[in-house]
Amino acid sequence: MSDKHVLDALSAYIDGEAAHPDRIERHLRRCPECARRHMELLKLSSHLGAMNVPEVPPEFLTRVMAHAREAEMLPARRFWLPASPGWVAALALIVVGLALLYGARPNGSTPATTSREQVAVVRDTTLYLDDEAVVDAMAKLMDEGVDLTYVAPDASGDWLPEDNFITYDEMVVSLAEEIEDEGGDPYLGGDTNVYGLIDGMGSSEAAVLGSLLTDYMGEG
Amino acid sequence: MEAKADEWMPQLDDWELVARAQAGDENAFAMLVRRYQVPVIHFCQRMTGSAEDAEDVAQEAFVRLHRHLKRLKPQARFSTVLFGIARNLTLNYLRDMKRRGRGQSRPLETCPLPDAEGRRPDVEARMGEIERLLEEGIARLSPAHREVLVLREIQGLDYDAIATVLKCRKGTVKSRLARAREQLRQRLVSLGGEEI
Repeated sequence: MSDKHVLDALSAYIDGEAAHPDRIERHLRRCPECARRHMELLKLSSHLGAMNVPEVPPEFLTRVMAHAREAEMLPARRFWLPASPGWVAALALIVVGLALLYGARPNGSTPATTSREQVAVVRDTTLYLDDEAVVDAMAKLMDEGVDLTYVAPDASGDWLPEDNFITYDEMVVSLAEEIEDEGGDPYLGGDTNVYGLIDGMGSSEAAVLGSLLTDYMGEG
Repeated sequence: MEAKADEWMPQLDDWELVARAQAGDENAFAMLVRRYQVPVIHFCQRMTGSAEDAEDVAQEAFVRLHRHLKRLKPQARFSTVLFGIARNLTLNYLRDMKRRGRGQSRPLETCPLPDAEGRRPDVEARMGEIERLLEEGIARLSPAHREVLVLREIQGLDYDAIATVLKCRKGTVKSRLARAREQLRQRLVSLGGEEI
């Protein structure tokens, strides 16, 4: 068993989430190194659980209720993505990353064969200016059997099946993990971090992704 | 106005309170806020590293919850919906901080000790030191690792609930959590907490 698998198994074991706890128990009885790690994890968990809980100021509830009432008075927020070239390009980059991730994953729920359609669909949604138009257009496409993935800045796509929906932030996290797996530091790398990739558009990584995008979209 | 409601509302589960709030019952919504204000602020604190900003982010999470009440359906545990909103807001906060050049989360500015009555001074000092090291270690984790660790270890959510909050697979939760714990353990050692 690799080091990573041991850590995964022990971590899940202390949470009561291990697939085969009996096997792990047997292993712990005969492996002092894993038994030591197991104890360390338990101690760490115990200390984390005992961390201080914040004191909530009494006026917090009043503030929340006042702001909630105030927000209710405002007209309903229109969900929109500005159709500026920067935003469209940034979103398209996210889609490319998504397609690459899912395409490279053997058990990915989104078949790579539909990725071109996905890109077209998601790009088009940037041109709509409100929730309902996006919902209608995407529901129609799904009825037609298009297996699309919707990228949104928040949970506004929760009407979609879970496998067809991903938030902007989740995409950032996924990209970060990809970078990390390749030995980079996604959050500390200046222009090469995930935000640099998506927002900066000037880094070499963004240029590579841009090139991939061009090929991917069949526009090159 | 809320005191009378408190007598019976604690008996209602979260989704029953949501249903009442959807029908316009402000007391029911206030009860939800009371029920979750500590865990949500705590989550936001650990994610942002700022006690003050955490309150603002948590407040916004509840306001957004209120705003989207009509769309809520009792399909999952209510806490996963609320933590999902809070989580998106904290990630937005971290992104904004990053853009402004204020870098990553930092250890909390203030760290009051819990009720220390009857505790030996040396034990108290040691616990304070451990908490400081943990805060520093958590603050240095990436947001992806920090959030999964906080949701599990501090909020006590199980893997299914965390996967719902993060909109990812359970296997991802498992591996990300293992990595977060290992990184935290290593950070603690490097920060001088070898004997933790």
